Amino acid sequence: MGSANIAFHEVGRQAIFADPNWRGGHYWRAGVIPERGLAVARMVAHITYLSEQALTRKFGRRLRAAPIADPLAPFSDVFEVESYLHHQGSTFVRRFDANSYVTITRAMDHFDLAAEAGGDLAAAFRGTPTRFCLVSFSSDWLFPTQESRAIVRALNQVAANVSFVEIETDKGHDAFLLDEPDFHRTVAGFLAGSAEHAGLG
Amino acid sequence: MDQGPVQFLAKNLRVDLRLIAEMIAPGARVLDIGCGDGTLIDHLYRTKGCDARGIEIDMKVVTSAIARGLPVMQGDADVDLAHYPDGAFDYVVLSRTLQAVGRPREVLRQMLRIGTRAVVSFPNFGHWQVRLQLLLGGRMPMTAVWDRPWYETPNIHPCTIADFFALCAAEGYEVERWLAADEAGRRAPWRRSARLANLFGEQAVFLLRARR
Repeated sequence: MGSANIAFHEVGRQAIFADPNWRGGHYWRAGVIPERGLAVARMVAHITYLSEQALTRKFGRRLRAAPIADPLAPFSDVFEVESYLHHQGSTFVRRFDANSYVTITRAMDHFDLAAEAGGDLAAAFRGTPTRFCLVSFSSDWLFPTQESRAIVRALNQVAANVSFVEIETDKGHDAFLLDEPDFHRTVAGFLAGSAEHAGLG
Repeated sequence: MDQGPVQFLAKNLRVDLRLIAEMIAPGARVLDIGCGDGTLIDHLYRTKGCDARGIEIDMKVVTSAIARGLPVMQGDADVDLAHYPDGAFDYVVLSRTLQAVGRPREVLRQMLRIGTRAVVSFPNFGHWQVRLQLLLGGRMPMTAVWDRPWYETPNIHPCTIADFFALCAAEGYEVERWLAADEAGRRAPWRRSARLANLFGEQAVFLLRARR
């Protein structure tokens, strides 16, 4: 996790903490959930999963008209991207617990493989017999290609067996969930090759 | 769609790849720089049990190589060799790529640092057709091997067989084996003469070792 990713996580956590229903994490005793805060956390995070191009393609600046035109509220029309994020936020609240969200994002922030190996990422991989495959997406700014390359360099330093490719896509980080034929071809080929080398082919 | 790993037989290998494969000992650790779709590393793994891996600069080509189950990483020979440890491989292969890298001498140094031996193949700019075209036509040569105009060729560092011998001498590399061939892979009749090979060979393959 780079500094920017930790920063986005912290915005999400602060949104949860600012919800009056949070109650210092003891919301479950009162039978309530900090839905507003959790929804905002999800909205922020969701933006980091998309790319500028994907957002423009999906929503652009299109507006959704307010149900009732109110002359006293001139900007009541909602951008489609806003309504999309509201939906993402409200559905997330139903399936994710706030304490889990805070704990898991913190765990991700604190995970540092290099630190565990004395500050040298390559040392963490020394002597590994594992075959590695790294795939990055060109429009992913949450885990950009240069960070994958840093891992590849560390693996090269110990002459580990590593495959690496960047898949050209405008779908951002979420590309790994979507229909990206090159990505699926890559993963399937790598797994088949590894199975063959392991004598399972 | 996805056919999985494909078995390539020697007869399907590009001529220079077949000549390179002949120079590599079974079971060796091999790094193929500019490996393309990984045909050579697949061949070395299947026929000689080598631990063969590749680096290729073209993303699309890397994708299809990994999709075939081959350990290939996208990378640039001019940059990425520096990260490997000394002596990590028995052979480092550079097939028809030397003439296209930014700093050929530095790439060779890196190859012989990270590998015990280097296998280098390149198209020979000293071939008589190339010489004749420049001499008589006064224009940059265009042949079956050198088939792109000067303004768009990726081959920015062409060299002749004689040039390559000179570089090996200057850098202190021992030429353990070398051969020149035409595009069809025929080696005779100028097999033993470097001067004749430089005139009639369309491509050359060298097996190098750093002098200890």
